[in-house]
Amino acid sequence: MRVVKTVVSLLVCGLVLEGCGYVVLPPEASAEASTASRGWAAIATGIGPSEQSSVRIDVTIRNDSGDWSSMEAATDRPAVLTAGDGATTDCDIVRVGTGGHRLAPGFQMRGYVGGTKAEPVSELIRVECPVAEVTPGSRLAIDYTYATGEYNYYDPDANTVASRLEVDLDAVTSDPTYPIGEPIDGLVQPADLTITAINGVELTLIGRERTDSGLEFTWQTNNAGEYPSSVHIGNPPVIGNDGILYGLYQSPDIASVPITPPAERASWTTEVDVPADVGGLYIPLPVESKKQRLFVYYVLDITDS
Amino acid sequence: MSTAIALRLSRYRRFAPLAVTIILFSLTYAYGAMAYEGMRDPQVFLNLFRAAPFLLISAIGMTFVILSGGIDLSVGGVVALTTVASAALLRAGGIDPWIIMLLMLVMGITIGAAMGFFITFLKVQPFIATLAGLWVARGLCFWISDDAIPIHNRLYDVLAQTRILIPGLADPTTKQGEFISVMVVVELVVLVVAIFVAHFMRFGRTVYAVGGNEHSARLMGLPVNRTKMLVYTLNGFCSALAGIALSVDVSSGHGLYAVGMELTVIAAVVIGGTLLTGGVGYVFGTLFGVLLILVVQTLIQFNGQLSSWWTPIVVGLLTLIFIGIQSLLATEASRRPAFLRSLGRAKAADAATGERAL
Repeated sequence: MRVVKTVVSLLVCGLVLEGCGYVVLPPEASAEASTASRGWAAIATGIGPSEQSSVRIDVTIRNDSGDWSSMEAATDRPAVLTAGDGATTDCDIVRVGTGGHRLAPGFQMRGYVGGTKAEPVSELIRVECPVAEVTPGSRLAIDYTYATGEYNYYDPDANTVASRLEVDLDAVTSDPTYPIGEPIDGLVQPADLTITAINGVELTLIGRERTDSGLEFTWQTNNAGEYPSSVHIGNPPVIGNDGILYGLYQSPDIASVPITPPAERASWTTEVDVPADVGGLYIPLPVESKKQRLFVYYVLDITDS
Repeated sequence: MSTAIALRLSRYRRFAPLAVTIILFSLTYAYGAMAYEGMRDPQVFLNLFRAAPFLLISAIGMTFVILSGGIDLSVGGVVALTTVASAALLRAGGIDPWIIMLLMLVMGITIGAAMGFFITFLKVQPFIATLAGLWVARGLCFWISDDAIPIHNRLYDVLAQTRILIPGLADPTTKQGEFISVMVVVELVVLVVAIFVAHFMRFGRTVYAVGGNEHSARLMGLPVNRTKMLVYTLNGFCSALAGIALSVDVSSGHGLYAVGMELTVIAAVVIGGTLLTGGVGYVFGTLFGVLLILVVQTLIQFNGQLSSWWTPIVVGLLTLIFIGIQSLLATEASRRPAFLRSLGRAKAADAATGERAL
């Protein structure tokens, strides 16, 4: 009986040891954040009176992080205006951010669409300070956080860094060039680029059309694989030569997309409201790639639209 | 000869709904494999188990409840509450994730026991008591958090992303090939334990007796109240475990998770051959009820042209069909010749005597 027990124990141990080879643990998550980046930069584009009898400072922000990035001013802290004589004033109205979207590196913007889906509101990036005027030598400090890289729905706060924008109010640039502040070679892709998305499905923008309210894009997926697959891209926004990022932000996994059956194609449309007189447009495009709910970004050139 | 055949058919009649489910599942999968090359991949079959461990775990608990003649509408709420509470505790930090899982199971057991108490001792209708449980659980979800809470925890990552390769279908050296997840192992362990409890333990037999005829069970001296309490407590445990499985699966917690899940779970149990009136059914059938629902979803995905709403439509139709089959069998049983019924009673008496002797 003792022999049998020993043999059984050895067999079980052998099976367990052999079985360990069949268990594949996930890799440890990398804790690296892009803290080495320069973050975002900001310049003042206009200073004047606001509706609330205070001073309004229009700001343009540029993505200098070297990667795709979204940014938002800290909601629990005011911006601080430091006058030339060192006096400080808290500025509570701070509308500084990308509206949730990620912007390509080197791109700059001066507004985004906020509000709700039912009532979208165009927000110009600005800070309003309760002072009579901005004296020479004044500076504006804005605390903010920015996230860089691919967007992971399951880890939305990955690579998020807190930083501070310093705006020199003596140097007002009234006419910056939008949306590209610093061109980066190879960043902007042609509109008809074939993008390899999740599960090897190919995504292509096959049509774009001006409508009464803006633009309608037609997307097509080609699934050469054996399994049905869907590629989430959300409702891609556009940014043009007026520096405003059009399109209310929603997580790109929310908008429904058709399933592409194996060895077949599927197509669908997305729309974005944009004034007819805005040209020089680009699409910052999140594409579900590599694994579920992980979005890799591309910028498509539709300046001829 | 004809009497022998009739007897044999009569003996196996109770397996009819289960057999129909297994045959239907097999035919559906076979059709999919013929129509879509991708469905012939063993991984697609394994994915049926990977897709929704929470559904099977919850359906197993519900099987016991329905076998006892009850119903539990709170499962979706308890599942969602488990996801939110565990995500909130993990976010707060300072507590080991294993302790949090244990706390969630205790929470599920407590909620189940509370509903069982109302149903058993205060004679509240199971429908009402568990509906109240659903509301309370959903309300608590939003009391904890209005929004989804992401889970960033190594243990949850390991449970969600560890691949257990299948010998013969995968290469352990390259770590490539067909695989299942840790939660599949958990759901299969729960299934095996549930089958053992239902068919080889006194508690399981009492559940069948209570569901078949509660009054008779009382007269026989069976612990009806304790059994009913335990059934709802067990289902609370299963709901919490299902909630843990769901939170592992989606790495987050939200009060809007598992909305309407209770009805899918009940449908899976009914499709698996368990009589809604109680006393008849098999935990093993529930497995195929769940698999049938998931294979319908898979077929719709492979088709790619159909709306995802076809899944509830098909599940609804299947539920109706299976309730129809159950009703037919019940009517048929009441019309059986008297000598077959008496023979059946004699056999049942023999079995009971044997059991007592054992």
